[in-house]
Amino acid sequence: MSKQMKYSVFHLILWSIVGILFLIIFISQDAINNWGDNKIKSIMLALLFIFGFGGEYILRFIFRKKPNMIIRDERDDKILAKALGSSFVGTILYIYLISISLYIRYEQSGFVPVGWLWFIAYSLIVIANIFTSIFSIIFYRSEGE
Amino acid sequence: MKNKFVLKNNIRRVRRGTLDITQKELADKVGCTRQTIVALEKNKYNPSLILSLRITSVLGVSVEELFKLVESE
Repeated sequence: MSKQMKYSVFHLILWSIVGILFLIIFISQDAINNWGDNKIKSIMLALLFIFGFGGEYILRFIFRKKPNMIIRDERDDKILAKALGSSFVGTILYIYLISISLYIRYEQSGFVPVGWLWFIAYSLIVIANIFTSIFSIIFYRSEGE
Repeated sequence: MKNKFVLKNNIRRVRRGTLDITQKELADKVGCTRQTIVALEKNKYNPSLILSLRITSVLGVSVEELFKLVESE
């Protein structure tokens, strides 16, 4: 397994943890409908994303280039570019699906709780990171790791 | 109808034949990862022109000897 593939696996684990904790915070105690009164949950989400990006920084430090060691080459760049492109399409599809779902759910009332906008904003970061890792792993596996 | 082509190579045969070097040694000499050499030898990756020329230079063979364009079915 190449260093970049290992990095993608750890990156996927990290952002999956962030995603699960994010859902727990957001779904618990009707957070969507009470979003405006919920400063503690906003702080918890901020801390969660600090954990996510901090963890990513630590990962980058662990997988940094060492002297006389090639950890990334043209093939890795190509795979990463393909993964980013696919992740972009996946993220767009995610926005489309969640927008349509919200429309169907709140079509009758005509009002969408503002908490959902925060949900979309935060979840986009998690989804984009998870999709990038998943597509990297898929492309690495299909092209001989 | 357009013809499709695939790039086949003899890297493994040349590497183990004349020079007898490992994948890691070849990777270090051409400046790529061992996994890229593995993918190349399995014909799962088409290298850039720069990488192709570096490999031919290290293995001491011509491009035509190392790479072959084959029409796919």
